[in-house]
Amino acid sequence: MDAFSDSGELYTIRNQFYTNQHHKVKSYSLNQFSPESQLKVLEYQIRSTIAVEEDASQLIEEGKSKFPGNEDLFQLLSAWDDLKSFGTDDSTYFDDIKTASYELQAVLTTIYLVKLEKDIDQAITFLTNYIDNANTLNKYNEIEPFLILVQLHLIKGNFSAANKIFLSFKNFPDSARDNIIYQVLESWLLAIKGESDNINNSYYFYDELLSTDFDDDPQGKFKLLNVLFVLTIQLKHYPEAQELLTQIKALNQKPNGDFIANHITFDYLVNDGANVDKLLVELKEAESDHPLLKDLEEKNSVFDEIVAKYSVSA
Amino acid sequence: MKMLTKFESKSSRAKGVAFHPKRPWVLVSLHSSTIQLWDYRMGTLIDRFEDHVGPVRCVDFHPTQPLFVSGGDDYSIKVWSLNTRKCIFTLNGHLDYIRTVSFHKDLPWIISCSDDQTIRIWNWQNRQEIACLTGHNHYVMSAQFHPTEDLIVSASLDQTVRVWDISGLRKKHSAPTSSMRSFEDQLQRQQLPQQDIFGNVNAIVKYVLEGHDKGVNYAAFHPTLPLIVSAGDDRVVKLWRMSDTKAWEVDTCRGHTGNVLCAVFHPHQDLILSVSDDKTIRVWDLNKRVPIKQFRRESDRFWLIASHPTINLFASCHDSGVMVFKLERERPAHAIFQNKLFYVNAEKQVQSYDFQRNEASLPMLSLKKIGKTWSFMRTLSYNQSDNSILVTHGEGDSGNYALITLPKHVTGAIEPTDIRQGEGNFACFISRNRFVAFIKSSKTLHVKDLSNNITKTIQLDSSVTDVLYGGPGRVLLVKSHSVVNYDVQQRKELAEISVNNVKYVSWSNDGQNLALLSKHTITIATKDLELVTSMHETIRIKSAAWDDSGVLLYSTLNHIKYTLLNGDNGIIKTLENTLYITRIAQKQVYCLNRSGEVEVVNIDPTEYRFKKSLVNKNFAEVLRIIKNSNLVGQNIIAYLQKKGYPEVALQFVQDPETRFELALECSNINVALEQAKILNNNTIWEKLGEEALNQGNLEVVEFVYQKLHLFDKLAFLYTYKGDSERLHKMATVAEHRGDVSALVQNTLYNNDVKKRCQVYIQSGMLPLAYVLAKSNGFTELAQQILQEAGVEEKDVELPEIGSTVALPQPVTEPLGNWPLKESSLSFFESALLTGQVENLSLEQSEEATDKFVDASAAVVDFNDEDDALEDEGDAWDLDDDLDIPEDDEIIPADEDFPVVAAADGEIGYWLKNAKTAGGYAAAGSFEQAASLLSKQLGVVNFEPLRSRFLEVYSSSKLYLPGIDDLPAMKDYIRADNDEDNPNKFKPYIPGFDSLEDQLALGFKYFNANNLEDAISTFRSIIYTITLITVEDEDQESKCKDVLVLCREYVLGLSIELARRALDPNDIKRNLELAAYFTRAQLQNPHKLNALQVAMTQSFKHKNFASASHFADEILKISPSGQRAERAQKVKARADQVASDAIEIDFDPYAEFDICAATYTPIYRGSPSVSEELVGAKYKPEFKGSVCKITQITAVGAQASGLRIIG
Repeated sequence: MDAFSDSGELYTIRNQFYTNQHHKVKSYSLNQFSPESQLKVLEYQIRSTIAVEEDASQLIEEGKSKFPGNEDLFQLLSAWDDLKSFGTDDSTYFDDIKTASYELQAVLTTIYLVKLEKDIDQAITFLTNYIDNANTLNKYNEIEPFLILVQLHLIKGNFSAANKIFLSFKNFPDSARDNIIYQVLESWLLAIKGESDNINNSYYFYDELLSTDFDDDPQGKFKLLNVLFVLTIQLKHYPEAQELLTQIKALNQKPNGDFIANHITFDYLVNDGANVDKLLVELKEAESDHPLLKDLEEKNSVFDEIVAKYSVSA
Repeated sequence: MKMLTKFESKSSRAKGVAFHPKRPWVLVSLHSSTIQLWDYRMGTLIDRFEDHVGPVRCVDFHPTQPLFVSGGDDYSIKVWSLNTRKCIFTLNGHLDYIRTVSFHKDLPWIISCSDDQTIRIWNWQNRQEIACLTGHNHYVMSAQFHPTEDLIVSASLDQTVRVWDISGLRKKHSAPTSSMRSFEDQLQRQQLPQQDIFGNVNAIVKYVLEGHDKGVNYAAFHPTLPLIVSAGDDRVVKLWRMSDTKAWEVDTCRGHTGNVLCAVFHPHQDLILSVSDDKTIRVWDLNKRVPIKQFRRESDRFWLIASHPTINLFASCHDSGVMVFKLERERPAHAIFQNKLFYVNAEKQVQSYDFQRNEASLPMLSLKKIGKTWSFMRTLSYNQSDNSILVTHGEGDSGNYALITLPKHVTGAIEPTDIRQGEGNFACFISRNRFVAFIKSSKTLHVKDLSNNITKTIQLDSSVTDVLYGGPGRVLLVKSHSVVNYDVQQRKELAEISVNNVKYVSWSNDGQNLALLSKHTITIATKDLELVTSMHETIRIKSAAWDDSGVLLYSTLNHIKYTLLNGDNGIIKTLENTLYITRIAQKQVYCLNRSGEVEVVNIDPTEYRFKKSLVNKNFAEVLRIIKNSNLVGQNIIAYLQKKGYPEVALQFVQDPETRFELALECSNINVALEQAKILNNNTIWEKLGEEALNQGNLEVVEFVYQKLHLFDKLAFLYTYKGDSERLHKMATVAEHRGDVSALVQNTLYNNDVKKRCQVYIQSGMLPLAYVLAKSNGFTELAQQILQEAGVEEKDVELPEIGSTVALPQPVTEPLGNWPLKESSLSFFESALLTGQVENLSLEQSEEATDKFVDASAAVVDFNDEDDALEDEGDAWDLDDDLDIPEDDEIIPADEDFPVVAAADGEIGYWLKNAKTAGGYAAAGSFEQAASLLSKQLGVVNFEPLRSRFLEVYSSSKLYLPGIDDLPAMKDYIRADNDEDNPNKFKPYIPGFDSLEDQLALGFKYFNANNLEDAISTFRSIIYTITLITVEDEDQESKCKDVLVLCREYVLGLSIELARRALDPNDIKRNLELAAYFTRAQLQNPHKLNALQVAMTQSFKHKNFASASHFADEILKISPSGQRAERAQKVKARADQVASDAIEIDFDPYAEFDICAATYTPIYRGSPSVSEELVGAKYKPEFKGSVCKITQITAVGAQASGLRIIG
């Protein structure tokens, strides 16, 4: 039986992992799971621990001793942990990977390429390479790489490429479409495709997630509200967006670049941009290399050229 | 009411007639024993049925099966098959002439009545008589089933009409037959035909209607109401009503002067139609029982009238045939204005239909009281300037028009209040304040104003039979053989075209062409009436409309068709019911049906677009259609072949045979070869070989010859190719095949003497072999031959032998294919190969850009003053003439639009769909936005627009967070989330909704005397509008109003600021500026501030005359209150002196603009330049400088004007 299916024991934890409910993922005890699932659970837990910016080295060590013969995996996780804790990768583990040999390696290396090498195109090539070479059976089980790939395309604004991947899921077995990853992926594409019905459907996906218990997980809730904030603005439901804004601020999380960027757009829409300058300063502090800042910088310089080009020497 | 004849047949006396329920067929039974089947649309006789002996009095089609039934004076009823066109069987039983016969609507029954005084019911499935109804004691002249109930109505010469209840019969025949009936039973049933074994009565007489004084010839049920109409020899038509328990006479229609032979109800209108041997058909109002219309034939008595079950058609039999006619036209009167269709519905109410929203309005006006009850609205013309309609109704001398204002708010069909009526057979608006009415009897054309006063009368030529709309200020005069374009203002015939009996006209959307519709002909002409093309249709043409690309779609009785300007035409759709096309929008054809409802028909315009593109040589479009549509069919292929585009046709064809032929036609040997391989048939190979030879393609020729085993030809081919190697092979082949003659031929080709000798020897032709050997110097061989032949050398006498002939050697390599000039691939071939359509440059057809202006919206007022003597009271409202220039089409708009590099996804759509600078800015294409603004407005200083650019850009961008650690995904805010057509995706651009708030903010600063902030707020509003996208003209005009408002405030406040900054000693300038400030078009409360300043300053500086003037102005705006009191006081004091101490440059009574740079007046007539965005005025010396109001635009720059509708 597939441990990930509805009735499988990994179903819940996987859903939680991919919907940013990292605290819940962490809170499980390995003994709650059957021995064959424990490694996967541990993998999620380590990744969740890293995601909430805690040190996972202890967990990794425990794992090494508990699951001998998986050195590869733990080496990867440990490199990932180091990367997140120290910001750089001393071991040059990721640099040495030219082609990925298994799913998680492909996923994490891709993220590394984007985050540290800032090279999205290379990341896309790397990941596509992995997907193309993966055998069909694995392809249907391993869909996290697709998720990453879709996001990479969408970062670049290439909706058609992303949509093509999404559509290729039609050829996958039905079970693949029950996968939470598929649903997440679908929610993105629906939102970006636009049109009220699509955005609404995407909105409901996240809205439903919100109904799960987030009391002790402000970080997870923050991420979720952030997405809802975007979708609400997209739907032009400004009062609701304002309400979300209040809720998000009340969570008192550390500043997030994307949130501030969206707040800027929202301020333009409801406030004629009165607070934009202030928010831009905040954004610079929170994430100095946020795409919005780069974009605005570029636009300003284009505008400078325009000013120069048309001005009359009066 | 009008009776319109659609078909007439000529024959001997017709006694019975019936309509086919679906097809355009009528059956006619003749007194001469023949039954005819006519197609009344085409007017052709389809078949004749002759099996009866003697007159056939009645026929009827089966409602669903391909059957019909007839009854005649030979006492027999015959049932016929429409498939085999033969009589299937005959029902015998009646003992005298059969008068009527008809099918039951759903049971397998036939009813018949006869002079034998009985009515019989037959089952046509088992071919048995199932009931015989007796009771009438004279000939039964008619009998028919009730359309829904188990009733029969019959009429007899016994002067009664009887209603029979046959529910018992139905019960009996739907009951299961339990067992075999005994012989006795059956016998009993035979003897008592009205009773079955249970004593059930088949049919009982329910009512006997007595009232006719003579024999009754016909009786019929109403299709829905419990009514019966009957016709009798007492020359009257009677109307009866029945309830469940009784029936009674309602009224009598008198008027016929002979025996009334038949009367029927109209299937869906409250009318009765009757025919009589007084040679008339009469139409009666069912409710008032009064005659409405009568139609007379000179010498034919009418015998019967039948109605079509669904369509408004009737057929009547008379002494010399049958006529098919309809009552009244069915073309709903309608007019189109911009995106609205105004039309008269079946209830005689005016409705409108919005083409953009695809919805019909509620009825807005009832026309029931216009004209007579049954008069029909023939035409409708709409005038937008006062929202009124002009309808015409009635025929001939009673033709009238009515001019009615439509209600402002549609609340349901209200009765019109203000009706202006007059005589006229045709009327339409020709300008926004004039309409024409044509009176046919006197051939006069009146031009009238909207108050219904005649402003001009034109006596037209006596040959004019009708008038049609001819564009603004013009009409088309219709004569029987021509149409004249007539300028009503100049009373001048502009052009004439020869065309017969035109009935309607349809103008193309750009006003460049018109289609003149006659009954069977469409003539397309230019607006100057030069013939473009003309075509004939065998079926009646009903309507026509132009699509935006200049293709004419027209409807006939049963088709929607198209025609191109070159006359190419085809069928688009077959129609169940006749429709009148009003407008075509892409794939949708908006039609009116005969029930006065809008029907939207979806069509596939591919075929005509394809043909049109081909005709216009718009190959890129042709290719696009080929690639994107499944356009196939013999029709298109034949068309392409005919038009000389076999290579295009080649793209469609799959069938190898056709492909082969097409390939040969376009000399494409390669494709032909491929197809030949598939077909592999000798004839095909031969054709290919021939063509290849013509082209010098020797390879293919060789291949073909090999394929066809044409060795001789092949050998010869190798010879002239100089291919000795293959030639040798051919010799070997010939030898193998034992084809001696071919072998000899080959040795001749390659001069192989030895071989030839051997062949001769083998064939026993020794002398020949010897001579050959000898003459070629093969002495040895010659000897051998001699030996073999047993002769001595001396026995043979040979002539003188010359030297041997050497075989010429080919100069070089064997010949290859004949070199052909490198032909460039045709447009299509290369395009289909490369898939690159866009790069191919071919001239596109020019689209007419100038839009057609509807008369009612015409900008130019039409002047019909006959002479200068007419009094001025009749002059046109000249003021209206000022608001003319909506002519935005003059600007070649597209030149403004920059070419934008392609982008992907949402941004790509936005760029593609961008029409405004705002649209480009939002899509991030600042350069394009700037370039547009520069062209449209002459913007030279962009810096102040920076924040607006960034606002517009940022307001539609969102960052959708995805996986942690990865950057967010790009997400977008669209202008309309309900839009699902990517070609209409546009970015959301903020600004329009907050204009009011911004203005309020500006006013707030104004009131707080915070003039700098007020100015910068108004300026920021100007910037907002500079980079905005709005949805429609309303919003656009609001923006333009706001721009003017902002200009006035910025100007006024700048003047006031300048005044405050003055040196206090400069009193003259102070007073001037205060005065100019009052001239800014501020809102009244604000204007009071300005006036107050001016008044106070003037008074203070003893300019009493001016002070008094400003006080007056204050009192005009605010006649009471504190401010007014003060003004009155000032005025009273000032008027005592009434002169100015300081002369200033301000004439309170002159109109002037204020130069926005110098703050000095520019009086009317003085030279000035203006700025494009807000229209600020400057003295000429400021041309080229940056506008002080907007601070972004150049004064007097060449500019095409702001465009913000996206």
